[in-house]
Amino acid sequence: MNSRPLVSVVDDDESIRESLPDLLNEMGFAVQVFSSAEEFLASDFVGRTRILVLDIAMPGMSGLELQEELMHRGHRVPIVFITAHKDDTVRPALIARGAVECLFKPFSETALLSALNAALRVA
Amino acid sequence: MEELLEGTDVQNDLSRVVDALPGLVWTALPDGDIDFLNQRWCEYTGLSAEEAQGRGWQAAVHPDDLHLLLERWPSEMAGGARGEMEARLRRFDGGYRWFLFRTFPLVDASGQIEKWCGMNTDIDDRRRREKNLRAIETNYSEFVESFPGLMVTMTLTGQVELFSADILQYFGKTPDELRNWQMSDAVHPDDLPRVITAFTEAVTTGKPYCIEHRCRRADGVYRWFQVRALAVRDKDGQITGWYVVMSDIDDLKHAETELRRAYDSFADAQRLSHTGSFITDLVGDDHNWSVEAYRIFEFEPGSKISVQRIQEIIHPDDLPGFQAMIARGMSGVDVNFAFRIVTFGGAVKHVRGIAHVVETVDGRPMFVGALQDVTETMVAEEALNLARSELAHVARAATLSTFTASMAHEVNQPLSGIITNASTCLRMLDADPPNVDGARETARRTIRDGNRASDVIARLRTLFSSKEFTLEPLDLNDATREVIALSLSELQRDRVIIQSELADDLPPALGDRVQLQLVIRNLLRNASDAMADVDDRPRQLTVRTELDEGDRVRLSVQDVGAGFEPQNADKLFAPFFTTKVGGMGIGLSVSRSIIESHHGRLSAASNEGRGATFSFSIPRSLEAVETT
Repeated sequence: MNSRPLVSVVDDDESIRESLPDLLNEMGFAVQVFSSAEEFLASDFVGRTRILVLDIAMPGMSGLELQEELMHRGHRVPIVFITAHKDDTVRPALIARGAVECLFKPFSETALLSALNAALRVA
Repeated sequence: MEELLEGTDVQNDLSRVVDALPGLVWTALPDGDIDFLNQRWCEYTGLSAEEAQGRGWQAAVHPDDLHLLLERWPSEMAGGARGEMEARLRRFDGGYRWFLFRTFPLVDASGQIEKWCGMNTDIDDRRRREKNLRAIETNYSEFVESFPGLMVTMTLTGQVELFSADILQYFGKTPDELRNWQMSDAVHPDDLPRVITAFTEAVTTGKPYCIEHRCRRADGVYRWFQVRALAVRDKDGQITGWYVVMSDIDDLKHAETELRRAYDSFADAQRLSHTGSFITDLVGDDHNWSVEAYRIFEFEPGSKISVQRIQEIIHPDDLPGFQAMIARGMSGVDVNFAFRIVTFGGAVKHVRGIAHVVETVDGRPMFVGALQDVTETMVAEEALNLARSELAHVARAATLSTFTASMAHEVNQPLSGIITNASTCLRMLDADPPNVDGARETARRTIRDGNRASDVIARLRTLFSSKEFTLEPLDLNDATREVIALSLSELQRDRVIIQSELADDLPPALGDRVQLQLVIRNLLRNASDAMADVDDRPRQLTVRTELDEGDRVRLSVQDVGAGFEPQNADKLFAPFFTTKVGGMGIGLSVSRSIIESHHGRLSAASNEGRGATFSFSIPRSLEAVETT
């Protein structure tokens, strides 16, 4: 099981935190979930995370701030942003800032899988 | 005379006749020396014939009159004509009485005066009467002349006879001018026909005359007078002239005009404002109504008012309230009232009023009050309410657009869960062997997320439904939580940290849930916008509910933004006032209207530290509404 790449999911929404791990497991990934950016930063999984699935709008530290913090710390982990705010101008901006992909909730299994594959290629 | 006295008998007879004459008889020689006096002369004066002989009689004449007598007599004697003079003669007791001295010359054949015959008649009583009469006449004219006011006496033909000094002054005439003057000349031309009619009638009937008309003063100014005239009659009842007294009533007349004008304007004001006034003795069922009060009730002006009569046209639904009000009034307390009437003409009117007890007479309260036809106001109020609810609807629609993003977010979260779960479920079922337990779990989560999405939609539908405005008991905490839930993602996006301090056991308040939520939503939105530029501290937003004084509940929203300038405090709630770029400025104004329709107050205050607190307070019940 250790060979499975670790995907860390950071989202304040419970529905995502409950549903996404099972799907990712089915896809063959190892999964850790966090309800906030602060919780993720405080955990032992920052360095071991191969792909970060990150919600943009969260109370406290936002997804974008976490991205900056990680770059600041020198962790160049591939990030797939997920957001419930559908705003077409956001996606190019995020990709320009180094994100692999930005998925708008609700996203399909296919879209998720292709984003994760792209992330693996970066990593 | 000597011839006549030739025979003693004849002399005696003649002497008796002379003595019997009703007067004092004497004869004198041509030079004036007395040679005979009759018995009555001697008895009256108390002088003997001897004493009075020659010039002795002069002692009986009053010293003041003697010189006149002596002066005139010689000239009369010289003329030889009969003469008359008046002088006082001293009586035997020393008192003087007036006498008429009549003198006749006796002439001989050659025309020479032989003798003078004289007879003195007592005229003292007559003179006294004449003197009194003269005194009365003098007094009368003095009275008229010094009369303090305008007084004249006139002849039958209207010519001025006597007049007071004030008459001269008022009309600016000399006495002579006045005597040859018709008073009608000074009467105002507009009044003249009336005056002529009245005067003609008085002259023909002899009845007293009383009329008010204007008279021109010396300076040309007309003043109002009350003119009274009374016929003067002689002892046979014939009219000989008129007494006329003129009273200046100009100031009175002006006061009367002012009073009339004040009354008219009062009546106008009543009419314009649809306000009637009344004085009522409720116990005695005696009512004094103003014209406008009659008009409002469409009662015959001046007709008798009774409680029963009013009651007959009270709207049936308002009758219990009316009767309760009458009962309260009977007990002698001030009352307010509001009821509808259905007039005889079929109009339904809203009447509102107030009655104060001004005094109590014989244990009966006397009310003075006013009542107003507020039908137009009521109709306007209904229209205003309609406009307000339409405006609220517009505001809601405006809010809808700002909610779209939030709504999408709220719905997308559970939708995302649904799709992910369903995908997982399919994968688990497709596995070999199928992971049925896992699939069942994911299917269960799918259902739960579906319900979540449905809840969100339901909340939004409530918020945007255009239900009519209704005041119902509601849980303000619950309503607040829903709004926070719907606004949460938006607040998070704006990095606002929301803190709820909702009071435990908050009693229900009276409100329209949808409209109050719109207000709360507005306050949250404003608070969040106020902190958009805050980067040096947490964007803390505190929502608080609590029990307020006066049986009310309060909700407040506190931010740590820039606050507002004191000079803008009044303008904050004005329509289209905004400090935001792109803001419509109707949020707070509509919010205030909504809160006021809840009989509440929306207010803003600067915090002691940073930012502002907006809060509203609404009554918990209709009773709480009444007491505030």
